[in-house]
Amino acid sequence: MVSMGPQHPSTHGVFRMNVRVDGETIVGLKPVMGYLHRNHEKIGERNTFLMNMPFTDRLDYLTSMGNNFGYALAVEQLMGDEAKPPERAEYIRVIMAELTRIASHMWSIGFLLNDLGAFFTPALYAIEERELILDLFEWASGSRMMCNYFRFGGVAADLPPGWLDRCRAIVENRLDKKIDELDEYLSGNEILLDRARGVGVLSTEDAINFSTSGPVLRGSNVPYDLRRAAPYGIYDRFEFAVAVGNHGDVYDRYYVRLMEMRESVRILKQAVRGIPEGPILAGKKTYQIKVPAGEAYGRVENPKGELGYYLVSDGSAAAYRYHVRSPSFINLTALERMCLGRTIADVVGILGSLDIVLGEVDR
Amino acid sequence: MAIGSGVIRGHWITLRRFLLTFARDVRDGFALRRRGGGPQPLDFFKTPTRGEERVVVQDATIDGLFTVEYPDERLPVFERFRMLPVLIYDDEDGNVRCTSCNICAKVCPPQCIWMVQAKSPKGTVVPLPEDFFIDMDVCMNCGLCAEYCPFDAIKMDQNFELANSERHRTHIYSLQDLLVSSAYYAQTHPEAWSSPEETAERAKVAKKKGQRLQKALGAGRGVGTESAPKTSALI
Ligand code: SF4
Ligand code: SF4
Repeated sequence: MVSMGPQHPSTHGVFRMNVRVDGETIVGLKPVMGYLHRNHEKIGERNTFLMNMPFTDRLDYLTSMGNNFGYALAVEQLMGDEAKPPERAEYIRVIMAELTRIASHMWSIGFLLNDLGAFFTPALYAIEERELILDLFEWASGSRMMCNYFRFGGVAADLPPGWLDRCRAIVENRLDKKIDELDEYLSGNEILLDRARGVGVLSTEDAINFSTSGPVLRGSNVPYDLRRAAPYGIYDRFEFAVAVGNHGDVYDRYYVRLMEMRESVRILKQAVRGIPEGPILAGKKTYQIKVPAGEAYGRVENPKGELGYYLVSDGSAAAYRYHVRSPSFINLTALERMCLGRTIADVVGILGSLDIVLGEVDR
Repeated sequence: MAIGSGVIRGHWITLRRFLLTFARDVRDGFALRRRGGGPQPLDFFKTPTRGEERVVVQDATIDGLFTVEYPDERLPVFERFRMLPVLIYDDEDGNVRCTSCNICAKVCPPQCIWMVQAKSPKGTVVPLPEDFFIDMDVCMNCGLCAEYCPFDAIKMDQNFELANSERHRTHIYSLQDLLVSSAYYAQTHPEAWSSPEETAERAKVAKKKGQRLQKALGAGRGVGTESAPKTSALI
């Protein structure tokens, strides 16, 4: 029995694995979730609905726009028609969410290679594109990572002048080429193939039974994507394909992410071409938000999988009950199944292919 | 493990990027000097004077490896970029805009704002802050206080170079530390300053100003930066 990890600075105290080994071979693995002591869900019951928005940024801190989106949807469900976002806001939301997906997958692919031992070139190439996207976030929302940009019934501020032009330039002329380059750089690399093909296999059945979601589920050949299965916002208007893999191994999870980025670029192209002028918020801007009693579950297809917010409101200023279904946490439950029979050296790569962020694992 | 065409192709991409980086530096005139260096050719060891650092814009056309040699080079600061809150006083009359209405404290998610409302000698409430505190280490830079302040009094600053070696004394900002002039804000936020919303808001607040000033003076104390007492009780 070996206590393995934390092998990343951000996981200290929060995550390690108790691994049972027979020689080099894994015969048992128990993920040990520690504590970040952030208490997100309990604080969500103290905070008013609006005050909780910046806290959601910090769940999966690489995808704050997507986190905002899910939470806004949950509260909007309770508020009903009064909080229906105007057209322009809907477009902005989709643009931000898809940019987030690319940024997050870039990061994930870069660091998967890092976990596999390719220090550090692929990560740097991937981070470059992410940087450009974070610039866009900072320009529109004021922050690169803790965006706090969505409001119930729209977004916090309109896109600044010039923003769309730069976004268009990046989306139309740059990202496709860079994703191709990454594909060419990595997908056929024999060392990567050796380390990723047939490693960490999760069968279709297991992927469903562990209720995994996102690229982990789709890598195991389940074409389930909330943007198609239960469209939210205006996703039903866009053309895109759901990427799936066949074998459920590390390589497929990597490749699904790569294909998803291409699809995101496709959605982005449609969105930046179709975005209308107009208001960006339903109703008046106020901090006193009236949320009627009831319960709601708002969910989005976040880069790492289904991110859901369960809310119970008793009509007061704060939620009566607040719970987050976070993809990183749930995908981790399948880790043991993927690792059994593999060697110690594979564990880090398999963990990397899950693409977890610890802010979501312990709330 | 076989080293095949995939690995070789990968190396070719790395080499191309490497060469592109040099090509870009030659194109931008950095063949013979350090990118973050001084103004002369061959200024390998000089650093630019503070405030005159090259601003590097990364847009869709940038190629090669991009690195910003901070602090000798900088990224542009976007107008909406937010760090910590500041309180604004108007240059023309030195008036603090804040009316101590407490809304910012109410919307602040980690609850790091608290204030003391000014009182006249008779004990009546004066719409000015006697003191105003923000615990900057608790502040999560979310900007909600600035977004929902009805008097345009609290704004987000862009200064991010805040390194310090002590927390308890220096990171609890009081009114003194928080005040900045409207000219400063106009300079850091030119778009917002000239926007129709903020212009209208300023006009509205200007009307009330005379009244507020009189009230405050009637209460036996001046207004603006100098008048706020330094409070040490909470530190
Ligand atoms: S800063 Fe604004 S919101 Fe806060 S007390 Fe002053 S006037 Fe009210
Ligand atoms: S920026 Fe956010 S956390 Fe900081 S003082 Fe304002 S409301 Fe509070």
